[in-house]
Amino acid sequence: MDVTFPFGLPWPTATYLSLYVATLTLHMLLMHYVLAGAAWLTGSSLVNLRRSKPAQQTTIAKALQDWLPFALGGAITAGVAPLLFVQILYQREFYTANLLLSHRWMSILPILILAFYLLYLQKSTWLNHRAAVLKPWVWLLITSCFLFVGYSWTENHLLSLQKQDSWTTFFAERRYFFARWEIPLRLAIWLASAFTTLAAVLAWQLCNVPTPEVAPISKSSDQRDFTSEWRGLRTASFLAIGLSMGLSLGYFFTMTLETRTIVAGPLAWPYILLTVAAWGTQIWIWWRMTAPKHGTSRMLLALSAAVVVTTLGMNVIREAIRLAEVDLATLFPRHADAANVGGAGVFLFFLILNAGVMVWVVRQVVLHLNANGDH
Amino acid sequence: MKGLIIGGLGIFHVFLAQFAIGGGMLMCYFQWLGQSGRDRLGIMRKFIDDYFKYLVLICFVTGALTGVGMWFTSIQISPRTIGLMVTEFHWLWATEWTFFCLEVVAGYAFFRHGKTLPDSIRLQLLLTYTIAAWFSLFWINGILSWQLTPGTWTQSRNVWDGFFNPSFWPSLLFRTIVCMVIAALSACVVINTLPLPRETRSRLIFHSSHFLLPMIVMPALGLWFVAVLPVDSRQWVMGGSVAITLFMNIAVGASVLIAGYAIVGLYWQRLTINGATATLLLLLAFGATAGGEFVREGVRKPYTVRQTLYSNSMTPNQITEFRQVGSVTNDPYPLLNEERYPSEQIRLGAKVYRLQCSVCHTQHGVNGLTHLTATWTESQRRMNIAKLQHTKNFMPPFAGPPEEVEALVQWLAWVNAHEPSEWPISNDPDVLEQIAKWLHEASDY
Ligand code: HEC
Ligand code: HEM
Repeated sequence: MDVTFPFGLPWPTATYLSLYVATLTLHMLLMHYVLAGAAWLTGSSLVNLRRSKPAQQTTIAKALQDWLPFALGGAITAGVAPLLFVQILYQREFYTANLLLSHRWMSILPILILAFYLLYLQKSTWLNHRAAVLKPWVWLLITSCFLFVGYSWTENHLLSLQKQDSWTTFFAERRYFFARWEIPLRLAIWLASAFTTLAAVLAWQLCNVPTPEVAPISKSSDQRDFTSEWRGLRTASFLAIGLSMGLSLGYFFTMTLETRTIVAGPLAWPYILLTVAAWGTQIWIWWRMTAPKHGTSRMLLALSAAVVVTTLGMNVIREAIRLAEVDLATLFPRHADAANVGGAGVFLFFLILNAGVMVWVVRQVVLHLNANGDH
Repeated sequence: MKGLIIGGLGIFHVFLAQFAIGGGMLMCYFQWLGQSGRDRLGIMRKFIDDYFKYLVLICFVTGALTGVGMWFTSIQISPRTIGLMVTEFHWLWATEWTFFCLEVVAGYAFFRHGKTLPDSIRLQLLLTYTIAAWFSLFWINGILSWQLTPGTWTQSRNVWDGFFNPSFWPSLLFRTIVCMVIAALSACVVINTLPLPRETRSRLIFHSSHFLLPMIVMPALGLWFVAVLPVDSRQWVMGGSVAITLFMNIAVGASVLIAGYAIVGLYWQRLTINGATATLLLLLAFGATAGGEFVREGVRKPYTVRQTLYSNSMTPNQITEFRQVGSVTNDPYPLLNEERYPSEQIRLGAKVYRLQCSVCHTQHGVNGLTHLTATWTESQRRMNIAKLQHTKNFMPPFAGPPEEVEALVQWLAWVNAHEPSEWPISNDPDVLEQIAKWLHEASDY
């Protein structure tokens, strides 16, 4: 652990760790949109409840409501790859935590199915016409579902980091929950950073996503209102970055000295630096972009890159904490065994091919929509 | 019991996934009909959009999540099995994942914007979606069929020997046709929910029925599949196991009914079909899927991966080892409510039950050991457990020394006697010697 991640490890371990972190980052980015998006809608719809006159649905709210089901599908699909690699990397640990939590753990699946159909219920004309007063409470329910799922992943993760003794005790006492103060803290960090990602994606959506409901800036009749939404995003992003930083720092100081030494040591300090720099970049860009304008694409690209780097950096730091706690060397032979089986070339080939086809699909649609001017 | 859960979830998942694939194929066909001038009534575009909505609503998230659910349940039931599968095939699984991503992106692009796109782009999107969906079947089919017929992989340990195993092609082709059947029948259900004029409706139904025609080759594929099964698995299907034969007959019977109705009624006589009948046929297809999945799970017994891993997560090598050192000697997890048991021996028996038998048996419920052994004498129990793999060929060999057999026998007797608070210790050397002989007679372990 005296070389920066993922170097200094045997190549099979380094390869699987890199693939794990990369695919987990994709999962996290989509999950951020889902989690923070639902929380945003809950907050804004509950605030609206207190107004005497029902407020017009904002552009952001429309975009969110429109895209959440897809983002959820994406988050789930993207989660499959890290789920695969975590089973290669930490098989025994991951399975033990799964088995110990048992039904409690499995309950995340029906809960996600419920949340998905509730998302469609929110879009349905039935709910909008008949029982609009219920909507904020349905959003609250949906957000709770997502928070529960996030909570469960954190719980499972932390349980998987325990040693045999505490697994045995957990089993013998027939416990259902692995209650730890780290869980709410970690969850709060994820939630806060979710809002920075959300703000960046919504910035794109406000500027030019061609959804039928969201008018592009140029066509917007109510420029002023739009600017106020933009300000909301900026504020949210500043707050979220501040919170992420503060909470992460707090979390760092609650770790044992050993863990802290490893995480802040050569293994991960470049990533800590990278993450802080990326947060700084986000703040700087939001500071500069006071209103949505045309020609901001380059800024938005830079903002998105900063968000991706932040998430990647946080994921490496997250992994460094795990590496500090597990006895990694005992896992090397397993990884080497796994690396002996064939098929890596096929994976690489189809990864590149299918990524290309995905880009092509999106291009086909976007080109056509732009050509026809129908957003 | 857990087996039933994975079975139920598995059937549901397989059905949804096959609907997603077949649905894509059907829409490609309809889109092609529409844009090549064969759609005189001009109804295809609208129908495709309606049908796709169902597909997205039902399959996208529920299909994906039941898939993840299968994974989680497999971990609960047999972490060793899924662990072995992941270790051997993770690159192919990762490859499958790239197809999932493509499927979601292409499918959603069509779902959101299909209505406004010109025909050529619509067909491109539908084809991309369908190819991606079908390839996810291609990859997973190799892994699942490997469990049943690993073929030359058991010697070579080469991933492609395992993947293109003897039952790969028959089951891939068979499942592809099942996809088409489910798509056609669900289309008939959807058609009946739409407010369409009579002529339009019968036209759509006639076109859908084309997707039922490949059922003609199903019997041949079924025979091919049975032919490549190992002899012992084949005998389960051919009457060796009442339950498996029964499910097999259900699957075959339901398929014959669907095929008969489809070919004679829909295609030949060009009848239409009302919503109720279509739903009934779809339910029959669900029944056939259920039967088929049950058979697939069933004929693998006593293995989860043939000749490599037994259903209770033991490898053949481990059985040899456990015969020497005991199967639960190093089990770190205590029994729940340990103080309930009257002696160490009964505790040992309970642990052996938990490790070696509880995947397939309960104590009193489904396949309950107390019922199964109620009429046996003590020495019958000893012999039948020592020779477990001969008592019923669905079971793996017993994996432990004679002391563990005796502990299990005593635990069974204690449970049958309603768990009294005292129970004598049984450690007669002659008895243990006899058990050792039986263990030895039953196998080479
Ligand atoms: C792979 C799953 C599996 C495992 C593991 C398994 N069994 Fe069985 N066992 C079965 C099946 C299936 C039957 C048939 C039930 C029936 O005929 O109704 C059976 C039947 C039995 C019977 C009744 C046999 C008869 O002739 O009526 C006994 C006794 C029995 N098992 C004991 C055990 C014991 C003890 C263990 C653990 C050491 C065990 N089994 C492990 C699947 C299993
Ligand atoms: C909207 C639903 C979901 C939310 C809110 C969510 C949230 C999270 C969170 C917060 C973590 C980090 C846990 C931590 O480090 O403390 C995480 C990790 C992870 N998630 Fe998700 N998740 C969701 C759905 C899924 C699904 C459906 C899958 C699987 C297909 C998945 C796969 C993973 C994996 C593999 C990890 C890493 C676990 C580990 O390394 O221990 N997630 N998720």
